[in-house]
Amino acid sequence: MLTYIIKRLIQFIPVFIGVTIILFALQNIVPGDPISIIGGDRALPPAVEEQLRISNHLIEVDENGEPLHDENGNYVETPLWKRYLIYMNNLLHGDLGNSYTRGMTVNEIFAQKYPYTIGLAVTAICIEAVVGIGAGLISAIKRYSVWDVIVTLITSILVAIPAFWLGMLLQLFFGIFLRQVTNGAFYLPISGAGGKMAEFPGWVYYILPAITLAAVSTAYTARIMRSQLLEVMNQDYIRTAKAKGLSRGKIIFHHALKNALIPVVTYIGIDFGAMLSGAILTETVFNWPGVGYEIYRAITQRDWPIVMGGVTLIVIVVMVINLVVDVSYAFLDPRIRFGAPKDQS
Amino acid sequence: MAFGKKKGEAKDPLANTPLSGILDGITDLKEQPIPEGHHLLEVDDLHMFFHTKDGVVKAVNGVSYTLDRGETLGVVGESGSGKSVTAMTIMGLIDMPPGKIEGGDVLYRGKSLLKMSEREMQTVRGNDIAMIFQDPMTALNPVYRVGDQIGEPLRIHRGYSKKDAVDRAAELLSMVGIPNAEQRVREYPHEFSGGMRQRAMIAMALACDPDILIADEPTTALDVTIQAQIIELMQKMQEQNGNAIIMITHDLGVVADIADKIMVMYAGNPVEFGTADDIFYNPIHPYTWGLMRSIPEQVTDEKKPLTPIKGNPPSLVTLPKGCSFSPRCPYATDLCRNEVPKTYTLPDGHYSKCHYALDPDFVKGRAPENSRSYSGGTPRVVIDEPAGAPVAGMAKSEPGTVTAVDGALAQKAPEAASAEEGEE
Repeated sequence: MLTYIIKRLIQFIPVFIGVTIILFALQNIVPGDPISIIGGDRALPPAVEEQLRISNHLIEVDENGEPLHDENGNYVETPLWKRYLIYMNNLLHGDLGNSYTRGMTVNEIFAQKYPYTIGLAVTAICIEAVVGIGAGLISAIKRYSVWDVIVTLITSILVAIPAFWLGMLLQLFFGIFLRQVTNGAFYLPISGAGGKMAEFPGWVYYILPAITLAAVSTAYTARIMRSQLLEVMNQDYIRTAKAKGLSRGKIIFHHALKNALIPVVTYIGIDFGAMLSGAILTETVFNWPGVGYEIYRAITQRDWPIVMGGVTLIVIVVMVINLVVDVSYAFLDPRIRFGAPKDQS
Repeated sequence: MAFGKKKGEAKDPLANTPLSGILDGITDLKEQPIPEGHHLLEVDDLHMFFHTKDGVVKAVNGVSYTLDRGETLGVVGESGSGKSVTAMTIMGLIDMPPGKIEGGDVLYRGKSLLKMSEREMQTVRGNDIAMIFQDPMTALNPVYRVGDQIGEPLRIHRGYSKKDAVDRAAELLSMVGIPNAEQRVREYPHEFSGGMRQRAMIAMALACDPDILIADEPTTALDVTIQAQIIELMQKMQEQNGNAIIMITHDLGVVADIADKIMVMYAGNPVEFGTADDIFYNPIHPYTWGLMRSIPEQVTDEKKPLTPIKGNPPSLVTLPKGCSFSPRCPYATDLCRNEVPKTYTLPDGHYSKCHYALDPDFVKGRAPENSRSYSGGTPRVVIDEPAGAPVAGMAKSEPGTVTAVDGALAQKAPEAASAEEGEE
């Protein structure tokens, strides 16, 4: 197991280099000069602009920190590969660079934003696991019953609804309609994540964004759970269990569930990785101060250090989560725990 | 009754408590005497149909037999002939719907299994009647230890603690011939080979000392040398425990050695039933003949092509009018194609569902050459079997191990070995 984990950690390196190179190249293909965007409508004073270009490693400087010029008097742009190396060097020293627009380091920004994203992701994943697995179980155990029809219907609708639209519907109903109907007695917050001055305790702010974020995945989880359990119930070893004289409940919860959960755990794990990388749509709709919204904002403003830093962070988080998911298989499936099965018959 | 496994009961945690007798009386049907006039297991004109979108699948269409302790019944037939469904119906393992019992009954110690509630059936399954399945590779749960799975019947039927069950599982494993059983019980199925898994399945089935062991093609998925070992093991266990065995197979060779009675099934119907001797040496149904001709003869030096039964089994939804074997039967007449044959029973209980079963002139010369019925006649055949021959189960499929001795059955002289009309 330990060798497996080490092997997987070593595999991180090429994946990580590959992703960052692609990203680094892409940000240079996208048109728009971030430094001139910083100034907005007004042009920046040339000295300030020059300083910004130097501090962001966009142009070459001599040993005194003065910008180099080519024969036409223009700045000499730092080549892409060199900037990549500088970036990686800083990254290895734990420095993600400075935001073009926020006047903060990227590290500071993420330290501020990430807890909100993690909180939202954990809440959503709990909803997804509990509601999704539960609904899937009911639907499979009571196959073709009213409950099964209800679950199937709801999940079909949910997978078809885009998260941002569902978010807006929830805002409209719980935040505005209910408030009007109850004369302001009962409603849920629809924007932001609370704070010291907020009118609700902090956790209330999680309700609607977490439901929105979890909705589609919960529906998928329920469907995977249902189909997996039904498939496992057709396996030979379930017939064996029945032939031993086990009751249906024991067969389902003792013999079938553990087998059926394996793909469900994969899905939930990968989904958790995706949620941790920031739910851009949900966070935008709910003004959620997480990394997803921050990255979205940074892209629109060509604030490449934030985008780069965010994606770098996401790559690491997703890789780690995937590793955790793979390792968690071993606890569910002994065939993986002890290496590949050797069938000798 | 030979309950051989007394040492198992010594481990029973309830054995010395006042509860044991009461509980046994309530839960263990196998402890009750068989009522007068009943057999251990009686299957009586059983009909099991599946109601599907494509129509009614007549999977089991009038199966009858009886079975007593210590006996082995071989059920032989092609895939889809209803062998397994019959067994699964006895065990109550058929999902209903789509399955539906359309008639007949299954009596175990005089009690109808079909009328039992699901809860009652749960006490019968694994305890009174146990089953092992065709593919040992998939019949064990991959995520639980072998020992836990073998001990499970003990825990649910006999109230063993988890530890006691695993200890007993280790004993059972070593009993079925798995070395290092103490360690092996802690392993997972994927660490077992196919043969070992089937041994584990047998250990699991025998854990509660059942009356009847139903083996649904227990050797089909195994390689030949292992097949023989498994058959031998089942025989050995039967000698120890005195249980009855229902051996379902499509391989006549498998049942030849161990079956006392054989039922040949075709399209949900038992077409011939008799003692092993009857079926092998005096077959009277053309389908049985076809099965016999498809067994390779290893002893002859000359190379002979096998004679397959032409065509395919009929769809169980639209059975042919008349005898269901008539479309493939080389001897079929208009009578066969139009009228369903009755069951024709010989005085010794040997029966056949063929219009011509009782016509010696029809049987004579059409049955396989190495059978008595071929010559319409007499040679009495005994099985020359050294006790404990290791590969006995397989060897018996070869007619070479069969020695013909002087006949005792007085019938017609074997002069009329007429031309083989059957061979196409």
